[in-house]
Amino acid sequence: MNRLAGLFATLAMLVAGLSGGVALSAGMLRAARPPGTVVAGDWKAWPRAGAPDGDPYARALFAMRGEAPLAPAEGLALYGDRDSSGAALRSACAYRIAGRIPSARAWTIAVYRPDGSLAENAARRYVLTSAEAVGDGEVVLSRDPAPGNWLPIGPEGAFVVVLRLYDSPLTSAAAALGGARLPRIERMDCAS
Amino acid sequence: MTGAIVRFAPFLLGAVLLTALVHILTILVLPAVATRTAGHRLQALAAGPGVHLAPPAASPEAATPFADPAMATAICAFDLADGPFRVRAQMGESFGSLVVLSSSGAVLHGLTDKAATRRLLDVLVGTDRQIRQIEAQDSEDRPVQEIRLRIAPTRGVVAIHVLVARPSDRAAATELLRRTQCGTAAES
Repeated sequence: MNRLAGLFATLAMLVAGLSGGVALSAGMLRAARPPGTVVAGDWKAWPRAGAPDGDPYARALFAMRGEAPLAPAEGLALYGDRDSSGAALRSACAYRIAGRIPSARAWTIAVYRPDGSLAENAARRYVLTSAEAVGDGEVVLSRDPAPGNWLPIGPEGAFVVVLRLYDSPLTSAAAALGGARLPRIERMDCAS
Repeated sequence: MTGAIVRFAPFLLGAVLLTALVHILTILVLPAVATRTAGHRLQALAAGPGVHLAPPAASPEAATPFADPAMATAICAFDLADGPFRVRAQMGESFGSLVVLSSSGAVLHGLTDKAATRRLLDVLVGTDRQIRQIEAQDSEDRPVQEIRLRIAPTRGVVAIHVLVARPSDRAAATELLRRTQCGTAAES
């Protein structure tokens, strides 16, 4: 190999390695399920993101998003961006969070746009708490008001629903999350 | 052709190894070099001494993405170069918590109102050296009332959260947070 070819190959190696490494990190963090994601039923969670010795991918993900994770002592946040059939959540449809919400001292459900800002709605209603919930706790997410536990989801586009369990036995047993009975996110009607 | 592959194989292998190395480094270093982490965003809200109320998550000025709109939050920024930092946060009947975050947004410690004594979370944050100095001055006759948290980074924020169970509870939660006292231990 002559010197010029060797120099070119070294340069190509450095450029490919550096850009490839950065691109690989960006791609993994932007993936639907970055490494370190715990998937449980219709929900995703990063239970160790807020731990001092937490998962490095989860920490990088939260740093990139600028989001403050819950400390393990506080509780657990479950993120839903797909319904039980695997389709992305979108404002054109109505959804039901069906099934028992795991035991916790308090829980909240909030709806966000994918960038983490709250889903704007005419009712200016952004969160439902366990203290406000009535009946069996089933929650309807829809653009149009619904009787019972209702949370508006914004006029259009995709959205993310976050269920936070404060002071929950699930927190300390994050590894057992996969086996926990979590509510499902069921699609109801969709506007055509 | 085969000869070219053999000649360039070490460079291909080098590119793959370098990719893996750069990937690991970027993931590990990203929280430290990111400039818009939760720690930075909250620190920006807490310019100046004392406690600062964070704008509600439902307002356009919301500090961090995916914040719980049912939480009322107060922030104190600390710099342990000035000495250990004390926070006295009054808790209510609703769920409450206190979280120590580094500038990079890493959670260093988290406590809930269950750790409060008579609904007061009395917390002293310090470096290992500062806490050892304080422990050396402890009297054996008087039990230690405060919760002492050792951290390695010297700068960060303490976030105090109170759950607003119903919208009508927000004013009371805000009032509770306003009563939070925080500052360098000698001053508070």
